[in-house]
Amino acid sequence: MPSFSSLLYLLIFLPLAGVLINTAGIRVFREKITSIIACAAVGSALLFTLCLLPEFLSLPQSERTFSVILYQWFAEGALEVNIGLLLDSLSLVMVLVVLFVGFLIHIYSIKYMAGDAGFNRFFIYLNLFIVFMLILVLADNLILTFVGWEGVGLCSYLLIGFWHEKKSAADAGRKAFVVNRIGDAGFILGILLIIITFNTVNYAELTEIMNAGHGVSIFIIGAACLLLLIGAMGKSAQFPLHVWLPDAMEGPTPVSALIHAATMVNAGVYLLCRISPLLSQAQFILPVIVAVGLVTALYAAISALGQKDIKRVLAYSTVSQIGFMFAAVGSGYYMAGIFHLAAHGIFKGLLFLGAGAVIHALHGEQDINKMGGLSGRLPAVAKTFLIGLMALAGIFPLSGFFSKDAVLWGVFDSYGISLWLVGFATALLTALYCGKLYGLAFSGQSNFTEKPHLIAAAMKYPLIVLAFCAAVAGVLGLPLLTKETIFASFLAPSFTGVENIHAAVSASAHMQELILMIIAGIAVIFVIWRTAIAYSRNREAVLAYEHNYPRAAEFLLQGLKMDKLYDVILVAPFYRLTKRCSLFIDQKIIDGAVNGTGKISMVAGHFVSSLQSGYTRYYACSFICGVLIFSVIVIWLFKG
Amino acid sequence: MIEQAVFWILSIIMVVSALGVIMMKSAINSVICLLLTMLSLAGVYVLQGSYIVALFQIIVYVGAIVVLFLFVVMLLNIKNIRREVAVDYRNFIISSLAVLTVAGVVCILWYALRLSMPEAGGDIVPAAAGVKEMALELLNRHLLALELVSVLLLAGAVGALLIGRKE
Amino acid sequence: MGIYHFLGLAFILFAIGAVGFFVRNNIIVLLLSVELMLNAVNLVFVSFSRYLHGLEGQIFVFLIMAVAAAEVAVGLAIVVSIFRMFKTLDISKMNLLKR
Repeated sequence: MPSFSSLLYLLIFLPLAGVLINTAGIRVFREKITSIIACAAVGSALLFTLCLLPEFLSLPQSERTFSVILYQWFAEGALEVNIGLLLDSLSLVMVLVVLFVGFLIHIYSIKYMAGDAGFNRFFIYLNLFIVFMLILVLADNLILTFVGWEGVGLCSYLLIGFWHEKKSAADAGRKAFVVNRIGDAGFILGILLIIITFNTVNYAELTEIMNAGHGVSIFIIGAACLLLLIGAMGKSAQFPLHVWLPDAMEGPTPVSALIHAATMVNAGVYLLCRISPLLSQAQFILPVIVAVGLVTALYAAISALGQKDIKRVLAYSTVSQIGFMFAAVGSGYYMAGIFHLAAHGIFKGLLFLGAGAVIHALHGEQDINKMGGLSGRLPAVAKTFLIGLMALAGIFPLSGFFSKDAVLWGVFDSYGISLWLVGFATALLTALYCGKLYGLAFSGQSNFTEKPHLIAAAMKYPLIVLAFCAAVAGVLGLPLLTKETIFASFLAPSFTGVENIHAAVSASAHMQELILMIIAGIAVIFVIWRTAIAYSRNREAVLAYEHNYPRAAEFLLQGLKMDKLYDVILVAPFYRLTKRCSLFIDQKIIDGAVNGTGKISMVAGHFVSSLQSGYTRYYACSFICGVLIFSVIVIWLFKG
Repeated sequence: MIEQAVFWILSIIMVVSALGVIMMKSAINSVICLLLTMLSLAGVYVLQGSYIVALFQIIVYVGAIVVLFLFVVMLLNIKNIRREVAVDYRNFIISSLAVLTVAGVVCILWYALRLSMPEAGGDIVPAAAGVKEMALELLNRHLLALELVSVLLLAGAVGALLIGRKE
Repeated sequence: MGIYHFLGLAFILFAIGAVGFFVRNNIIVLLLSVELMLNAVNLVFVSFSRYLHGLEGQIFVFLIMAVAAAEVAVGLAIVVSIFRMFKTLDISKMNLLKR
């Protein structure tokens, strides 16, 4: 019996303890105590995972699965739902990303949130988020995953609307809630379809059923996959359901980094990987996933170009990168998707934390047009931010290059050159906005006159650690040009029997891959370099474009007017309907009924109160009349 | 034979004095009539052979309750009470309605009695129910009720003190 | 003498008490009428106790007497305080229950 794996539940209970202790002391604890408890809770969980790691690696590949059943939740007929934890290589990667990025962001938040009135509340939410995220990734069945899914959603809304006295923040929280409901409806329906079809929700059992002859129509499996895909699209902000994520930037920046970039929004990708046995049976769903992913990636990259707010640029870029992950999953390259997920979690967390540091230093200024020349003033932030941007754009030795290349190759391998071109265009656009961001914000002349805040050590060191990881994580993608990378072989046990369709890769494919990779790499470097130069040197000239074409700029700024479209198609008719309802049903029928009831009881009350004379004799008389009636009834009933 | 005679005599005394209770103008006369009713009722109990109950009847009702009534009537010293008959027509209506209803209730209960016991069985024989049996019964099976009643009595005494005291 | 004799007597006694409760205005007489009704019930209990050769009826009578004593004590205390308040014992003058 492995020693650590039996304590798997500690992974969830340690952050939970942090939540409970801090909740108990929400009114009492000073900021220092709260932050120490919160960081210790997450840090100890991270430490525990790192202790677990050697034991995990010492096992042979095929046996790398720890599972614990804590409690039988309910059983109904053949369906049995347990509160069980499953730690295989897939969830281990997720746990590591969540805890590692989460721990650094906890430390970062100590200084970022210092002095905020809701400091304790913030850390409670953060810890609670970690708890639910771990439940999500460690759950061994769909229903428990859904519990974590909803829990992280809850924390997400709470943290988006953290400054709820600000109307835009409260609105953004509500928007995230409403849009996520659509996805969650799909998720629930998918779970129900799986329950009535297979009578189980356990991942391992589902895999077994899929591998054996099950005789279920692939269209039913496909329908279930499609419904779960809708759920994943909602949580991961994919194309039609992406509108909540840019608005979610109203929350505090560490939240954007942790929840809306590094962890929670990737849950959709994780879910699709978890149901990979189902997806591999319903092959016709995969093109849908690729289409969703690539459309989202391209759309979000275009939108990111036109954004002025530094956090919204990064938000759209997050949407775009998750689109890449979907594309990888849709190509059958789950490992590439997860690799991109992990790499993206690190460098996007880094970028958001850097953006937070910039905003903090500039006293809350978020408009990149007003920044500039920050590399001289905030050297540490500028350097780490540059590493993050290069990783995001996919420049050669950094992690983003390896992961994005794996995704692009997967798309090329499965769907040919045309879809690869879409992905390539997106990558170029990514490089374009990365260059623009750096050029506008960090290089060139400063037009920000106030003296910037100093960046505290607690904010600087997480940046440096993350930058280091973003730079070297690409090693996991070695050796190049083969599917059997270090990372992929680590993940392989989670996908046994799923990805074999793409196993055979010919030498010519290698050559194509190499050529495409070199083209892409050089093009990206060229684009980012030129843009950065252009924006830093000819700032006025480039910005003049925006003034010359205000409508185009506005179109881009509003994310191709998707919000407007939803307003016209969905919100406005619904608003009119509710208005009608309020005028007719509510005011006429319901109010009429309520007021009518009141009037009836008033009249009845007047009538009845005249019976209340106050004289004892009257009461006694009615009493004896009651006795007469009662005895007549009783005697008449029991006579025969 | 002599029992029947005694029964009828007692019954007539009882009914007449009960009518006196509700018809005497002065409250003190009503109380005296009640005393007479209680005494004749005790006689009926003796006739039935329930000597203990008869004894209690005399001790409790005659000795305590009626005396208490007398006390209060004399204490209040009511002189200027007007002759009260139901003068108000609404009171009159209510009273007559109530009296009719009472008659109805009594009749229907009598009818129910006849239904449930069609033939009145044997006579009620005067057989002794001794103090011993009564006491055993009361202090064994009905001990809880007895204690509860004693608590009730205590509460009644305290309540009477509380209500009756001068502010 | 059968049980119906005694039951009839009890019924008449009860009817007289009930009628007295409704036709009189003096509170003390009202209380006396309540006593009459209680005694009627006692008579029924005792008669059935004899008729059925059990003791429970008589035990009940015993308990009822105790309850009646308590009731009279409290009732007369109320009568005294009512008299202090209204300077009259006429029940048809009192409609405090309405307020």
